[in-house]
Amino acid sequence: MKRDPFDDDARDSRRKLLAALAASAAGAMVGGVRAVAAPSALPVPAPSEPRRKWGLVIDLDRCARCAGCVVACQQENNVAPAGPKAAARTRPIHWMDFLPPAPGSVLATPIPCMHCEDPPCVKVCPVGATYQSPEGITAQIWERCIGCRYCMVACPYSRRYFNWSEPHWPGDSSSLNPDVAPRPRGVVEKCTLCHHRIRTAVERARVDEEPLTDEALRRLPACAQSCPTQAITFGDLADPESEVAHLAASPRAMRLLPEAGTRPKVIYLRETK
Amino acid sequence: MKRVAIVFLLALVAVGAYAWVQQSVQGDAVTDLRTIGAGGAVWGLYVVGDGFFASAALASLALACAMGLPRSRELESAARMALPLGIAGLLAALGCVLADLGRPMAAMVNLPLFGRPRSPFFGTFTLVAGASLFASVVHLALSSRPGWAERAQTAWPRSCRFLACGWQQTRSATRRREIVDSWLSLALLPLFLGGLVVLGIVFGVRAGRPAWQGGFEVVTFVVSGGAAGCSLLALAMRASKRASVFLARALAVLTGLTVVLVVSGEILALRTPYPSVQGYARALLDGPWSNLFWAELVLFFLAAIISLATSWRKTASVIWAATTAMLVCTAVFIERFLVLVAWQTHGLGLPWPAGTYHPTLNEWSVLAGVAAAALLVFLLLDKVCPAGTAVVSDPAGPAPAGRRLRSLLAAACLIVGLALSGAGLVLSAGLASAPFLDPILPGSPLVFLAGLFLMVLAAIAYELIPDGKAPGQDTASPDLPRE
Repeated sequence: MKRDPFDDDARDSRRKLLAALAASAAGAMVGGVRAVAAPSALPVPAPSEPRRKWGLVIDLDRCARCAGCVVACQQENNVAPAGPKAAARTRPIHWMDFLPPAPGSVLATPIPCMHCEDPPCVKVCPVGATYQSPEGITAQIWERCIGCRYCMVACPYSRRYFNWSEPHWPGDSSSLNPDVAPRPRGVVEKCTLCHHRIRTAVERARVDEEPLTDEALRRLPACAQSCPTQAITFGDLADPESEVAHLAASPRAMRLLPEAGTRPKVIYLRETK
Repeated sequence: MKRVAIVFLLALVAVGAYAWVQQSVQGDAVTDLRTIGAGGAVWGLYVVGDGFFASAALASLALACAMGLPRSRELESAARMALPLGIAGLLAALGCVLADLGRPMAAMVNLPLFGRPRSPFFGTFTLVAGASLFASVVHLALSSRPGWAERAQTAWPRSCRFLACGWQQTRSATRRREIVDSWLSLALLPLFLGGLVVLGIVFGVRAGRPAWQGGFEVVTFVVSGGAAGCSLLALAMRASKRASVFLARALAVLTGLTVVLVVSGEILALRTPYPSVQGYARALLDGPWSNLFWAELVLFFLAAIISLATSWRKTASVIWAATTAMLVCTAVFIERFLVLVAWQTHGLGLPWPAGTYHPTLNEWSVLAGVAAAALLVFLLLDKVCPAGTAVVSDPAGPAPAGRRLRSLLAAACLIVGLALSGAGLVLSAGLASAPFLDPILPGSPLVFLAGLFLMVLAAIAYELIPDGKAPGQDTASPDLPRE
């Protein structure tokens, strides 16, 4: 039967169908976009809470250069060990590494991402795959990363790593930390200050309706927790009562490459010995 | 001979494609790229190739626009050659970028969705890879209409007539052609120059590098890119003596200026208090990159001398043009390589070990394949898009009938395009969407790009809308035969 093109009911139903199709397409697009767009859930303070500024203080006098922090970081964040081929071509990934001694010094310096207050890597990322959380963590959405490596070129501290090949872990995947997603080939990754631990701590405090104490935070990241000499301290730099704020105010406090104007939130306490 | 050359180029493309597949399967591990600080460079041959091809293409297109403005027939025919050259160069640059990206497929989705104007890459993918390429294609297609109309009488009549889009050799059409050509040249000049500067920023500006040095590198990038574009244009065109001498003079100035800029930049870098800048300058002067640095200077110097001699004697031969183009392009390629790679291996602010970078056979193969493909595209466009000889300049001709509708439509395209691009830019900038600085509306970069495209389409609207018939007026010129 031929349909009357001037039939109002038919036209209405067609309109409704088209509207429904458009709405579902828009919904699917927004949903799909949100899946990629949503940055990993970093703890965002409620409007009434004071704005936190997470930072690390590394005491070079205390640091024994045991590289325990390096190993703990690898284990905690599912950083794949470099195979013999990658190691031979100097392509290992170390979110926490050791900077060779500067001229006139004999000791290496542990160096994570500086989580700069004015991070050049965030400015240059073309797709917003790297961003600064409200609490100052420079984070990476690897699902969105296109692997252009502009952030690596822009970082004056060279604290970003590209996955040159598919990551492999020895044994089965049961040794991986379920809280941290492994990164595939072709994306850039970096230190997140163990934000999954921060998130858990913040949420636990919220559920228990207890304040998040400085004591609970000090050894929160894997590097700080594993340090046998407690050379690494984590905390809220915006809280003047926190230990990191006290240490950051020390006359021994210094930042790497101040001339770069990036204002790192990783602060070093100079060697005195 | 030509067939042998084309077979050779096709073989190079095949080798490049094979190398690209290898890289896609095995990852960037097949390159010699490594982490900065761990003894390597993360940007290498592909990005150098991108910088070289894109800057040469944009510079030749900008030169063509500048040459097209005086409405000189001699310069115009030379300027037209820049269009296929520019398109081929921009496609080659695109190929290099795609080869470099860790996730090219993700890039094609995420850049239009989440592109951020804060990043200089926003400019490279919207202004360079998007708008410049599209505008060049439109410019070439429109300027080839008379040629296609001519060719329709001898070969492939249907296809050529279709491509000519109803070109008729009337005074009105000729005048529209001239107007569109002039306005496109005027409008596209800032676009091409803007793209060139954005690329210069990607190459030259770094955190930890003093601002004056970043600015210096940007200027050097733009000027040397101009030299590369000029030399390739001089080689590619089959133009008059006047155009050849003009290009030789421009080349002499640009290469000479590049030598001055490179030498002054080196001297200033050696005297700066920053250890990273000094380390970089030392690596160029007497370090591991010194051979390339001195070779670059010698090549630029030789090219400047040859260009000066050519412009002085007012003669131009293909051999000299080829020699100059080879010298300049090699020098510019080295310049890009040093600015990019030497800074990553020796310009670090922290005491990381100095790095090395030796491109692998895989990288060279991909680059050679991309360059060969670009050359094939250029040859194809040169063959397919004939230079029109039917353009007749007659400013005193009758006013075209029906121009009101045409002007209105072109103006509407321009205004809507401008509004769209402005809105797209504002939405992409993610103003007030802190803290993640995402576009307010996903896909806003596409809106920005669509606006730019629409503005270019105004030229098509103006040129293609046929004349209306004014009462009692025949728009065709009595002395020009209708097709």
